[in-house]
Amino acid sequence: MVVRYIMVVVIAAITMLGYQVGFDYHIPGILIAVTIAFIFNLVSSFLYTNFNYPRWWPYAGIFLDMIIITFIVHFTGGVESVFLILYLLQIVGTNVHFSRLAGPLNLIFGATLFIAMIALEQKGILPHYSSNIVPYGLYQNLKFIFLASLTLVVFMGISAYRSGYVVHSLQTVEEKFFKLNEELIRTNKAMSENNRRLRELDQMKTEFISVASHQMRTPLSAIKWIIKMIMDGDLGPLSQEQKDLLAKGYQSNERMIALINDLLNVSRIEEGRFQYRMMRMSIEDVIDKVLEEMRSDIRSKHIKLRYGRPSTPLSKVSIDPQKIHLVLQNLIDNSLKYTPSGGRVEIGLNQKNDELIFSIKDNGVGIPSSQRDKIFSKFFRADNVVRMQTEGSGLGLFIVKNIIEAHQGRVWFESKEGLGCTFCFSLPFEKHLAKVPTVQKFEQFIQKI
Amino acid sequence: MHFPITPLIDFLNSVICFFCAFKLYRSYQHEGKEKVIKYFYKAYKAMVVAYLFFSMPRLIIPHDSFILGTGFIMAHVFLFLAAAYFLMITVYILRPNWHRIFFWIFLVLALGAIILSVINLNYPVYDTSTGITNWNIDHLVGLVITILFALVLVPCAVFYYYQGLKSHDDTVKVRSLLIATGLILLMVSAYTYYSADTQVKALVSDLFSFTALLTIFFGVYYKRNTNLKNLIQKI
Repeated sequence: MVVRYIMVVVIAAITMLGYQVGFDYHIPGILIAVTIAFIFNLVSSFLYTNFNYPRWWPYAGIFLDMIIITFIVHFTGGVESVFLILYLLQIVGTNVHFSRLAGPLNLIFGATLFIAMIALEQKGILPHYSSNIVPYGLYQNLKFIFLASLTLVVFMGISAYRSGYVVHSLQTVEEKFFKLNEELIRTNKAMSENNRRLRELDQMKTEFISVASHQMRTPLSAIKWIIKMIMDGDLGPLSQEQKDLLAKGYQSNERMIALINDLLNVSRIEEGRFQYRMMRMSIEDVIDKVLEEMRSDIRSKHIKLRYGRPSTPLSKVSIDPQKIHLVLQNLIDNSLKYTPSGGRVEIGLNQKNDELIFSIKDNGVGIPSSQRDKIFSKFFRADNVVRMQTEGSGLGLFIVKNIIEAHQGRVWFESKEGLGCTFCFSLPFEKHLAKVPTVQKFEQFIQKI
Repeated sequence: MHFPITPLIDFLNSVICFFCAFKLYRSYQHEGKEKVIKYFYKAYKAMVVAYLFFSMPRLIIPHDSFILGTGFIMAHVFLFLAAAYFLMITVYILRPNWHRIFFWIFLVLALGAIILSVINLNYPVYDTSTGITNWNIDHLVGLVITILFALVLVPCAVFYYYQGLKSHDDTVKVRSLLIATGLILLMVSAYTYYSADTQVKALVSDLFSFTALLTIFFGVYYKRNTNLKNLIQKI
């Protein structure tokens, strides 16, 4: 369809150009011919998109094309025309788009029209539009027109045969391809079914975790406050041994609450219930708050923490402060946990290409190169960390990744086992965020027209 | 009397615009009556009328210069309206709150250009021996109209190119690049049209406008419907 439009425009343009440079073409005849082809194409577009068109309609198109080509050849000099090649193109096009029978039939039809036209021109029944470039009277030379028509018909035949062969080979390959694809579709359907069942099970598991965690958090909170009251001496004085035991119980209870909070967050993320309350603010305020809260942990481990504040104030970003607080808490806590006592932790914050980049670097145990792909997976803990017997659920980085991606940011890391690692995340500034909907709006508009 | 080449090209342009408008109207009806598609449809509707005003007087009453001149002015009223809708679409996607302001600002400028072209109207002459119209456009009018069209067509084309290249959807990419190319060709056509001082240049500008509208037509009708896509949809 599109090719026919292009052909119409190209033929009209070339004949106009030829006319301008001195070929004595019969322009009105050519314009009528291309207009007929153009209108036929418009009607075909209309029929194909709106109605159940008759099966013979496309075939009528290829035979009409042959008539149009013969008209163009006739109006541009008959046997002397530079447009004779159109017959070959038409034959190849027919073979590509239609059945194997259509090509030879179109060949016979086109060759008959061409021979009839040059014969009628030679006899003087049809007028000959000489291009005034080739020698006068060539169209009346029987030897020339015989050889020209023979050459054309033979090459039309060769084109029909060769293109038919290629198309047939391609169809064979395509059939095989489709058989394989059908197989693939069947396999895919089976896999989809399994996947659906797995998703159902996963959903049930998530719901179970959610309910169980909720049920557990309430008594754990109660235990926490009871221990706290006893430790504070509200129920009478305690011996040092009793205080130590209660402190251990209190810490274990805190760890349980933290784990349950992580589980609840994961189940909310998976169920799409993690609500974000975005506001424009400086991330530095959130970092300061987290560092203040973790000051005692940093001191107790004798970690040398360096926070490289940016020299100039950074632009505000659109964030949910509570969620970013959780991200920072997880990343800093990981660095503290996996860095030996007396180690170094460096926090960096800077602006790069419409993005805010946060980084935290430590000289801790690092991440084994073989396990880097899984580091953001749920419940995953690297082998070297498991061997250290440190606390952790393996949920922190999963939560970090989800929260950062919900902010349209990225999270990544660099690490060498035994030498430490650097975790980074980026957050887009408002300007950068504003670009995204424009592309989406534009795509929706173009898709809908 | 010679074959009426340029009126026929303009008539064909109106036919192309009609098919584009028809397709866009259907899309408007089926895609939840989106405002932006309505503007696109209205732009083409205005162009159908514009090209009918261009072609019909020359096909029916080719010797009456007054009617040809009136047709020329009326055609420009609708061409400016179409351009205003094109501008509105681009602004609507970029800054939805500003699209009406831009639309009216452009229409006010267009009104000025129309008044200028009425004051400086040189009656066109249709050469029946060649079938080509010499519009005798006043130099100042030509310059003002070209600038006004450039103000709309160039930013719109750049916007379509930019967004099309940014898109990851192949159909969106091809469609927007075709539409953008069509808009650029329309700009070239406008430039040659308003600076045409010979019949050949007038014919060339008509051929440019025909090619431009045909390119946009492909953009509007383009649908990638490969077997592979069907397969993926099936999966």
